[in-house]
Amino acid sequence: MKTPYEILGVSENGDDGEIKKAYLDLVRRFPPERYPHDFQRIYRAFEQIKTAQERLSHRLFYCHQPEPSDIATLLLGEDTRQVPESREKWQQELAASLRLFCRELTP
Amino acid sequence: MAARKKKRRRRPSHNDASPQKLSVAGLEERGAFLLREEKYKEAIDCFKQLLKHEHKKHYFQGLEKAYLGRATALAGQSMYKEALAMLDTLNNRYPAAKTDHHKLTLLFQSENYQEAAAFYQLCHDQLSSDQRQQIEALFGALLLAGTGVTLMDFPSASPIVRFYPNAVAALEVFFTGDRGALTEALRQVPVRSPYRDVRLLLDGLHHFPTDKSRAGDYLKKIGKDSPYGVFAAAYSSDYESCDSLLNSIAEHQKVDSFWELRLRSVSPGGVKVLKDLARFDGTPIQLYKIIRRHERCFTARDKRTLYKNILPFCQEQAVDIVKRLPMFSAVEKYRIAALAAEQDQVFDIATSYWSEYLDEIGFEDPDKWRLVAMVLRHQVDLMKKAPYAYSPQLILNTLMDSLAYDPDHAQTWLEASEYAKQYDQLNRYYAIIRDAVKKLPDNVPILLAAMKASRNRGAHKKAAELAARVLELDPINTTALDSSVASRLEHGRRLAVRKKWALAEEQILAADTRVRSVRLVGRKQICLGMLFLLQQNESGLQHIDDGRRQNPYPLLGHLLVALEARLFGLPRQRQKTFDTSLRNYAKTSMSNDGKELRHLISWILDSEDKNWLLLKKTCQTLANYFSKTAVSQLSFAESLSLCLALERMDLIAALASCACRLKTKFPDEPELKLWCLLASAWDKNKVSTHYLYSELDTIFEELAEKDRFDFIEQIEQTIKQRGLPRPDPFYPEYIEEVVLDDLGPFTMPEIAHDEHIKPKKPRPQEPKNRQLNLFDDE
Repeated sequence: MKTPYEILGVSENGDDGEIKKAYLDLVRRFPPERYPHDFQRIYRAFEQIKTAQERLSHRLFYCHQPEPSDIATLLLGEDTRQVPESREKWQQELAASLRLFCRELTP
Repeated sequence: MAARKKKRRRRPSHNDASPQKLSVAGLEERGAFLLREEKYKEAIDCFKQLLKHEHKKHYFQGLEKAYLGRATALAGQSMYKEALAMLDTLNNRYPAAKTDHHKLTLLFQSENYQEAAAFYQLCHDQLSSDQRQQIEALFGALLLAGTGVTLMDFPSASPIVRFYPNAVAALEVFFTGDRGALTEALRQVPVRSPYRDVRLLLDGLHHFPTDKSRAGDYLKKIGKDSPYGVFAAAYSSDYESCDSLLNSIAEHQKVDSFWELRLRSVSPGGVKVLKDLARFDGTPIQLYKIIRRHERCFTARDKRTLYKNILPFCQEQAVDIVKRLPMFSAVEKYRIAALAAEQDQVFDIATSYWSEYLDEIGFEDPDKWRLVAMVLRHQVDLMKKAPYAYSPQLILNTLMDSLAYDPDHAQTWLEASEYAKQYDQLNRYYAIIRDAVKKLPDNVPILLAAMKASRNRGAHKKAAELAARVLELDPINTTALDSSVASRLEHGRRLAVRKKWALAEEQILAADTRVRSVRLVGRKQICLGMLFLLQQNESGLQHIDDGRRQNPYPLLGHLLVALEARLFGLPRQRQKTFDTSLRNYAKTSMSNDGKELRHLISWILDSEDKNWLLLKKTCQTLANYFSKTAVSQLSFAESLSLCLALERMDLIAALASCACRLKTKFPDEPELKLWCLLASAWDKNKVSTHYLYSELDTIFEELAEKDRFDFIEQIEQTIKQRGLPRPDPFYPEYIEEVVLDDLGPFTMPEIAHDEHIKPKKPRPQEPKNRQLNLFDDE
């Protein structure tokens, strides 16, 4: 349940130019042909706040009923998955995943 | 003294009978039953009893199943030591039992990897090749993960040992980030080795930081039965939302490894929230209660955002709840209450809350004027949804109020002007447009609206000026260009009627020739020709002919000439000449491709009120053309437009002919059935009223089923204007209230006054053969 500002990575006081620049940067990173889902999200966010009028309108009249999964995402925090940078960390993660795998083994 | 609880005795069932008391057959039956019911502990007792009687092979097999089942059940409760003990007991009692794979599994589950490796060396001959491959892959992964298993635990010829250096080398290269070297190193890991999936894993993980989608493509290829499957799943990008996590929690299933890894960061309170969310029943109020119950798990900012978004969906309860929440200011509370009323579709209450909101923020601060204007505009939108509660005057005044706070909002100027026009406040309409032009002199839509208003008022000179201004701002604006030409020509015509020849010629010559609309192409020349003819200058004919030829559609060219002759008020004889020319041409142009017909239809339907009657008169010349024109190339929408155009032109016979042919082309479309029926009824009452009303009923029902209410409304308006034959009094059942109410006033079928129906002359009666009355005096 991110706000359009969070999706575009701009502050709520950002102006038209700043928002457009952030939008274009994101579109370059997530082109629609390769990331249709992400692109849709970015485009929708931009459409909601691209002008001062729309930003005001969004602030006043927009409401979106959060889904339980939105709230769960909020609780879990950002998805900050990162590939382990050292061999030790990599081995630790692999060992943890192998423990899970072995627990699920059936004869 | 505390009351002692009475122990309840369980009723004995026939399955509970003690094994000692049962016969051998009974014990056999019970053993099989207990195995089916997965009651392994009792099954073990049962088969032990049976083996006391006799050492039959299938008793041992039953005992084996019971012990293995019990061991698996214990392993499921993480009681691995007990499960292993079970297997040992079984082996002691029944050495032929196949327990190797079970034991290996239990050793893996209990994380006794070294013991598992040692046991594998002893039993690997007993395992199938599939089982061996799986187990070797797992040992390979355990070696790479550094879990305590060493190369020494395996024979040197084992593939686990042989290909280990290749896998480790690839892993070393992976951490250097060198793509080329990694590809080369992974190529050294054979596909038929226990480290096969390391290739996919490292390839996927290499792409993960830069291209998650591509990484997912590699990682998804690693199956769930692979020891690297859990690790791969944690980095595959399939999890867009937490739905799968909540579903797993709701169904008390084990969560995926991906979620298990992510759940490590969640507090115990957070896990409780997740459990409540998994049980969520779908109502926003329930969602609100969950958050309220676990408020501590959320940051103040998240809590506020969640309430702000959930409460508007809590309908009437929102107001009571929001009153109790101190985190919101009065302004926020009114906003939430208004949004909740909107969601509840109580638009008048929502409007009132927005008024309270405005009172709360105040009207004095110029920084807030845009906000005020926006809320006022929003109120107008809500008022329009509750028209029973608000007068058009109030709505218009609210729009004007919003313009006082935000005069640069062009859309509101246009909306206000259209609203005034719609409710017949013409003076106010013109005033609003005038103010809008003053405020936004360079706004093209406003200038176009002003241009249209000027044309409606007959101020063609002003309209031409406004069009010129639009063209300065937007040189390719075709609407302005067409309007400019039409206004100049109209002004020229007026001057011509007043015999101001020079001024009229000046206006007509000033009209631009770059028009695209087929209604205007060549019209300047035609108008010039008409002006000359009015001055008895026969050279005008040449201009008219030139103008007519400029039009890409000859029929439209002829029609323009005939129409202009009427607009300029040429002598009747001259008008007839042009009409004849139009009629003659129309006879020859029946078999064209339909483009001309389409232009003609759109011209008729878009025609302005001013020239409407003269166009209608001119089109009467085309009655025959329309009756016989080819309609086969028209689409369904175009067919409906043709019917409407013919009705507007009062060409009823042509309408009847076209509609009936179109009905054959589109037999399943009730719209065309209706046009055909109505045209037949209007066209000299060709259908009986009984048939007419029964069919009308059926067709209106069909249209309602298709949700064509816009069409029904349009037809009802037409019927109201044109009327319908009076229903036959002998069929009163067809005079349904709906039909009578909606179809407008009845008109008597014109019999006596119809010019087309000539009264029959009374035939002279032949003298009847009468019997001679010999007795009568007559």
